[in-house]
Amino acid sequence: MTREPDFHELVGDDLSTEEEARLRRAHDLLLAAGPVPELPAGLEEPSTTRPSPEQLGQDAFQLLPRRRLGAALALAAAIALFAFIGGYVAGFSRYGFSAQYSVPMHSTGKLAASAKIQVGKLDSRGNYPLRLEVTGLPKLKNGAVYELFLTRGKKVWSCGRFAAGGLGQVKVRLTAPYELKQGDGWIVTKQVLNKPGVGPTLLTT
Amino acid sequence: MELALDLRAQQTRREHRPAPAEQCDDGELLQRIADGDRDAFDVLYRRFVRPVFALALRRLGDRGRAEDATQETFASIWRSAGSYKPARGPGAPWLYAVARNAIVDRTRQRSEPPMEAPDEASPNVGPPEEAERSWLSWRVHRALEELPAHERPLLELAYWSGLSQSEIADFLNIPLGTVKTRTRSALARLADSLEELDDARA
Repeated sequence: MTREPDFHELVGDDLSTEEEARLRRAHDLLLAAGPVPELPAGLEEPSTTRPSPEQLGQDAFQLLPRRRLGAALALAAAIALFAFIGGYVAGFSRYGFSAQYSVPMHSTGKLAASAKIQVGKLDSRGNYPLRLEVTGLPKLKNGAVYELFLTRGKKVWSCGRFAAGGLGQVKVRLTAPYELKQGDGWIVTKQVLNKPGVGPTLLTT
Repeated sequence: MELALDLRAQQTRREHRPAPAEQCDDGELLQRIADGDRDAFDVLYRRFVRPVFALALRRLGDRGRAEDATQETFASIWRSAGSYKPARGPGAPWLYAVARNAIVDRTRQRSEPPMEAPDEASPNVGPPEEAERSWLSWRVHRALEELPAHERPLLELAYWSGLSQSEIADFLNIPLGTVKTRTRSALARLADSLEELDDARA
């Protein structure tokens, strides 16, 4: 137990009554609040800053609780091995999609939907192949479709449209013919055909 | 004439240049973060990481889980800063609510499986006294982060290391008079900061 500091030793005796009362209150609040704990090394620098979509995937990974990190790594390795062997055996290796990183998306509202964007290798013509896996988006009517956008602030770049709905996961292949570093996030919107502009956002990173 | 126009244009540009993030209040930082401003996020992080961690540690009682909750809080701030509405009040209480929700989520995970998970996080993390104490600590720790680097250690040494003013002078190798002046100045600044927050919240 550390010694409680003497208020008058700290501030002296020459304060006005009003100022003394003000400082006394700050003194009492400091004592009541207790010490600020020392930060663990992992929190010294912000790790959730997301300078680029490439880092989005890495950051999402960093945010996993550390105790689950090992399990997640093992699971990821097992899934990767399984996917590789399975794909090879099935004879689809020539169509294989090699994901460089993935970005999770979550619902912006009450919709119980989520998605994962897997970003493939940039091809020689400047296209990034994308594989989008969506769960929970309802089937749209009246010609409406979903659209994936790369975003930065209020700027958006369309990465293609798709339909979803029904039970289970929907997987679609899309393409981003842009330098992905220019964006810092992704959204999925609902678009009404022939209606210009960006529709309401349903999923975001 | 052209020179005059140039000067006017320069002045206009200066007027429209946004203030450095360090000079923004918490609410302004949140608005900038909503637009994807990483500098604003860094400044906000440095202002609040200790209060968030302290709050999490107080509630969860475990440094590892508190660290996880702190990371989740800032990830959540980055994702949802757009939902902050300046008209509803200053940024600090909004950030407190985000932190509290992340911590409540952690608490729920510890006692899984929940029988009936509510749609919304409970506004209180525990008995009213504990909630009030957490809010008080949050305000004080947040205000401490605003103190100049040459003043903050003096309060920490006096209040939480139990050093007398003379011992602090020896420890920091500065004159006793300087210790007294800076300590009084730090307390006054802390009082200002706490009053501002109270006024803004009222």
